[in-house]
Amino acid sequence: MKRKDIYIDMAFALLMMLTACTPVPHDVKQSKQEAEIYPDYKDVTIPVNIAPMNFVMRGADAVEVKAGDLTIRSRGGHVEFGMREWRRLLEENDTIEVEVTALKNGQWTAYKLFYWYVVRDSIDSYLTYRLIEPGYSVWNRLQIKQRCVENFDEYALADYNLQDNRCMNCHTPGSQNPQLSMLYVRGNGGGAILNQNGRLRKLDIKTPDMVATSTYFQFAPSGRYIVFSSNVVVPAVRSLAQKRLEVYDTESDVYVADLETNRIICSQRLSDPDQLETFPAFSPDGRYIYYCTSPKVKLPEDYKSLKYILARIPFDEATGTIGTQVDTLFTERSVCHPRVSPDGERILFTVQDYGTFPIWHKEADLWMMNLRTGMVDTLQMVNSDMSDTYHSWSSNSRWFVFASKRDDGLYGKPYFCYVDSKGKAYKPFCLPQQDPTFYDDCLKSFNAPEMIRGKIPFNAVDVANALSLPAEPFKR
Amino acid sequence: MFIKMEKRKGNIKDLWLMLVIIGFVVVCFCFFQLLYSYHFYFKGQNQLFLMSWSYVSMLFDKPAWAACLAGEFLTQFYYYDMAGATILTISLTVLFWLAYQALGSLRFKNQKLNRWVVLIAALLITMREVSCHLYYGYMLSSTFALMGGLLMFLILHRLMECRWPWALMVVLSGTLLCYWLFGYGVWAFLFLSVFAVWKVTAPVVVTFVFCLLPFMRSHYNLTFTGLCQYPGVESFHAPDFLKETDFHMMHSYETGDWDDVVKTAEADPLLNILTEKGSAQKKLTQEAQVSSTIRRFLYNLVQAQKGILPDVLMEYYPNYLGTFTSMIGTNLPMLMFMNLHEFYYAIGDISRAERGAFMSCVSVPGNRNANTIKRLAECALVKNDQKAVEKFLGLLRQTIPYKDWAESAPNDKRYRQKAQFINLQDSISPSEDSYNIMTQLLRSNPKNEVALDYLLCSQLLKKDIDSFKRDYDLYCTECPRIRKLYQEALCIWLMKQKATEEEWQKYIKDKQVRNRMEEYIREGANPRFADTYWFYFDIFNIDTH
Repeated sequence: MKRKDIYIDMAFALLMMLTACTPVPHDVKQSKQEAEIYPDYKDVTIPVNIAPMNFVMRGADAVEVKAGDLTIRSRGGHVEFGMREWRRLLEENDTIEVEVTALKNGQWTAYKLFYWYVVRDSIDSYLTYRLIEPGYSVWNRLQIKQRCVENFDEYALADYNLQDNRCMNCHTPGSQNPQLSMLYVRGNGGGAILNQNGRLRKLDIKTPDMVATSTYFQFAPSGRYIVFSSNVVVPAVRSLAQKRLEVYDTESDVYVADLETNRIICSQRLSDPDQLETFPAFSPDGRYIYYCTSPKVKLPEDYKSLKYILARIPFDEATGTIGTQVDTLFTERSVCHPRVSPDGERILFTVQDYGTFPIWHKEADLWMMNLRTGMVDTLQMVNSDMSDTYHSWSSNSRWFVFASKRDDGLYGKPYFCYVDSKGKAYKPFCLPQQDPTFYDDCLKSFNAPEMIRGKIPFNAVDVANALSLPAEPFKR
Repeated sequence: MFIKMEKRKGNIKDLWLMLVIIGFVVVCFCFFQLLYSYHFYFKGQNQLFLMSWSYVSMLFDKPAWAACLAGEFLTQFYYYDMAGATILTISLTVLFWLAYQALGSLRFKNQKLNRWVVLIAALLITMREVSCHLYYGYMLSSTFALMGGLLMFLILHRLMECRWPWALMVVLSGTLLCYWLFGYGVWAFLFLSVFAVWKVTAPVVVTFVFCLLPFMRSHYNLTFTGLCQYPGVESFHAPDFLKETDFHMMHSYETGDWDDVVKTAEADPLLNILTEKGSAQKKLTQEAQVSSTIRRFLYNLVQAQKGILPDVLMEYYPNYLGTFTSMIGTNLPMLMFMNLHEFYYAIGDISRAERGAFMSCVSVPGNRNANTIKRLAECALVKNDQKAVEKFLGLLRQTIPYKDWAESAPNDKRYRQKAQFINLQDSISPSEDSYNIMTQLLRSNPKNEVALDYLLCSQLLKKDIDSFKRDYDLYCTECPRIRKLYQEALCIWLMKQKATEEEWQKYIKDKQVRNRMEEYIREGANPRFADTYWFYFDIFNIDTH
């Protein structure tokens, strides 16, 4: 347990002692209304290994919660479960009935029951994300962190203090493997920091003929290759107050990098001068590269004509060659971030009306395609009226995490969604926090969440040390 | 007799000590309250202390949590008049007393240090801290860190006199505890401990520096320098009265005391130097130029919202409107950067106002600026974006200074009025094309006089008479905006076009302007016409500015 958690537990224990005389419900009024809890954990499907789903009943003077055979009473609206009781609760129950009784304005009210459906399909135990202000083009004091989702432990993978306050891009693992991952540290002396079994390498994944440095990337299942896009990214302010920001690419191409020979592999199909190719991802068997592509349009004037389709092209890992046959998979709306589930059954992607930067598009939703049948599920149960995007799968393909702005329209938070073996998606839930009001006070977006099977074996000091290494060059 | 004499000596020294303390308190309070009070307002803004456990628990992520907790908690009261000077004076006085006590408890060759030496040393330590507080970025937490180190020594120094194993334990545990609670205050603790028990302290210093601090690097995610200086140290600073006036104008603008902004600007020597119209200008330092720019920017912002920007545009040469400022990826001076959202909010570009506020927020330590959170709440209120309103007002409700404002803001009718002026055009712009922004605002609401004046005045400052005339025709035909400045500019266009009398009649409604123009033509660029646009157009060279 981290030192911070020990302090919190000590303070919590002290608080519990001070508030030992928590009121007990009496003269309870039954209500047909749902309890207004935050985060909204009502009727959600949760993994057996998730951290306690602490929540708050806003405006309550006291609250009693009965979850299975567990009863919690507290002054104020905070409901925080002890780790041991919570573990037992999940291990012993498949369906947990939760009854919330709250004291408001001197009256105890019992709200409509809700349920937690516990599934034995565990979630990957770690989550990585970047913490950034929702401003995009100007940043300051960035952090990339990993969080154990089975408890509340959080560690820095990269920290502005140790990385000279430089821009850092999202940390991405290969096949949810903690021993294989990469992140970018931008600016002078920066580079791609590659983690191979805890050994860090600094790479300069750029050749002179590329339009820009590498931006979005994914690992091949073997770990030998990454597929990446090189994008000239332009941020532009939207004049309409509700729309905030549009970001588009004026140039973008897709390449493959061989991490063993430091060689860049390219294809005319993926660097067509008349097309914008981006968001590449390998299929779990390594035989295809999925990507998004749009014909170039006049920018910024015709930005609403930027419509990216979902396509794929073969790749041979044995020879390191890109095929020539391009399959078009989806053309209905503008597609971003395609991610194939590790079992190869489904592909999850973001759709929006136009463009390539969904985080400020309220209509941006997650859609899921069955790769066997081609059927597309619009995931009604999952999406919200705000941006839902930047998703990744768990290693068992039963869970995905995504960043959603559904709470306030500004700050992205990680939401987890269960997908059963038949491909049915269930109501998602927000990453639990020790203090359920954590998100109220947080002024950072959780950006690009990625699930990982275990703890990443490096920290921010290791990244600082790796930055002092000479960058390994790449060539054609 | 001897005892009596010693007692009298002691009394005299105590009297001197009292006099020094009283003198320090009076001078310190008067200086900070009378000459430096707006620095407090600025410092108070640059944090957002929340009365919540989740906020307080964040302080445990770094060393010196106790110093930061006390410092940040008290800094929020800087918002209130006189509170800053009072808090700082009390803190510095306590620091002086702690330093006096700690140094006074030291023994050198079994003798206590001379009390005069102790008094002077304590005064020097305190004056150094005073000097640090003259810098707008220096935090009260740092003073508390130093105080913590001294306090820790005072508490533990008697225990250090035990046998060496106990003394070693006391110094070692004191060092760790002191670092955890007070960060860099540990150096004060170790420095004093070296004097007290150097044989025990020396190995502790070595262990702490070479074993414990490197280990803490990954725990606290700080560089070695950061670990040694947390929560922050500063070098000596002289009073910065330029910044004080900048902060004064910012404070008056933000609190809605616009008359004071105008009054301060009019009495400002920096701006008045620039009003020697046409004559050679005094050389300003870079800092003074930055201050002058911010002050003119705020002054014009006030006058524009009062509807009299065209009447005052020629008051200062060269003037500065902020309309040609790049915001995206900008390299602006910090205060200008922090105030850009005020301009966009004033003209009604809520999208850019919100963006400017976000950018301003990330430019302060901890990325939490109270004023910009307030502005973000205002933007959300204007847009009627209830989810965002709740987010930001929820934060402000957890503060002491802004709680009342957060409660009353949703019922403030001004935000509904402001909503009438927001940009309704849907387009994107990768640059801060101010012309495009203002014409869009005028297309959305032609009654947006603030945007109109900024648009026309920007053209005139650039001496772009043709564009001015085109936009004047476009936006002032239905509702003529008769202003002396615009009339004078129209005269230039009419002269250039060799316009007919009918056209002169159509545009020039102010007969005095036409008469004066004839006088100006006769007399040439006489400084008595320095208040006219013609004089600016003919004499002032915009290329040099």
